[in-house]
Amino acid sequence: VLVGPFNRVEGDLEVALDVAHGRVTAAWVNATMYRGFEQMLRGQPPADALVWVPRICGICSVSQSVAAARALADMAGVTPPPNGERVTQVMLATENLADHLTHFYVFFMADFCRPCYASQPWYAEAVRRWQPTQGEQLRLALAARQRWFTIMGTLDGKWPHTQAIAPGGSSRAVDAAEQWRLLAKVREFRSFLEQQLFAAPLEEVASLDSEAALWRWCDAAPFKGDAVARHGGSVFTRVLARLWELALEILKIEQYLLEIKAQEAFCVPTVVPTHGQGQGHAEAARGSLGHWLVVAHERIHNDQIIAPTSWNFSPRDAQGTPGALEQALVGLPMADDGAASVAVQHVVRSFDPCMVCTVH
Amino acid sequence: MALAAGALRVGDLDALQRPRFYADQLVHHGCPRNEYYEFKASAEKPSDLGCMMEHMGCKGTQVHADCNLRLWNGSGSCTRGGYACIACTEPGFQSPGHPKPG
Repeated sequence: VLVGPFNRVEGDLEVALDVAHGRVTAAWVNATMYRGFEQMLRGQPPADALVWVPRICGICSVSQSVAAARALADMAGVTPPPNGERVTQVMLATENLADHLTHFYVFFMADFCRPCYASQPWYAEAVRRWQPTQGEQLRLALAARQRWFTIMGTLDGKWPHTQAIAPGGSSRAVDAAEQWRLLAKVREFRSFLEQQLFAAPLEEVASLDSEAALWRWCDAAPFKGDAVARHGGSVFTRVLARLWELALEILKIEQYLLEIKAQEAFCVPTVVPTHGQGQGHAEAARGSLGHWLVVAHERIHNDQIIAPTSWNFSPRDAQGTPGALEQALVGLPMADDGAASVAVQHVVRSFDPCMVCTVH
Repeated sequence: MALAAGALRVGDLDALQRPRFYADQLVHHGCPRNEYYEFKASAEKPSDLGCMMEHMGCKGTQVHADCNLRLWNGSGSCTRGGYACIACTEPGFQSPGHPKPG
């Protein structure tokens, strides 16, 4: 059975499934759109990587900028001043958080509004909340996301494809008045999460330290995401981890903004060497991102980029070992609905597929 | 929306077929660093106050777009983010003609 191309994905994803006796016996993942960014980067001036690599993706664009800037900084031997690091972390976290929010409200919960669930007691409530383009919670989340991204406009100038992130720190200096305006925007989004998503203070969510604590809390809190909670195992934990990170990241962003010292430097000058190597890493929404940069004769000789989805959606390796998603799909039930099998949809979706960075 | 409503006509496009509602403007228009430009107070590195034309290659004074009048998501533009305009609305911006290494 061929599943795909998937919708609600940036880029192209196909999954081929071998099925026997109503179960998936093997899965084959294929990202079918090749882009060639590593080839385009060869021969470019090293600093131009900061213009090219954000365009690898319109979703994790800041993550690419951060990894590229860190690779250049590593090669040049510069360390951003504390303010530069703080602002960069806020920009990165703003993007991460938007990804997690979008995944839950737009990408993941939509599958619980499929007609195959119509007989479930929670179905009417799921549709009311998360029906694509209509659901009440979905609409509130989209409005909150638009407001959230005014932080991105203020600091990054625009999103995606900012050039505000430099090897020596942040090109965007934040003055004292802005520091408080930004904090007010974070508080507005915190209020959305506390009122609509968790129905609890974020500190309470962030302090959950075990699954037992989570369930005790869930029993007491209306957040008990009706549908999410019923699907145990790894889909559950992946979705849970993103939601929990929403709470953690807001607390960190508030901390970074409060730590900014408006009178101190945000960026130090950087001279990129004519020859050298550097590596830069960033934690993107879907996992770890790495850039390995080699410069020779003032030009990029090679820029090896490994994106999170290159791991999560990896096809079989040279030894025939299946990738993470390929393994996760084996054993799933598959009824007569074939490619529309909702179990397959949930598992694929739980990895938050986003493909354009994968075969860059 | 204008296109869907049948309100965008040939005369509303410039010679490069760009909608004039944004191409009649310059990135320079509304740039908050305009005063630094007037007084030739130049930024020398990222995060500096000052006009980014002289040392940081900003093309905003020549580039047709309304980025600093119609802000991204109501709050941003490249020059407001502290980095130079790369002329992305102009033909050939992707090959800026860096000097060849010596």
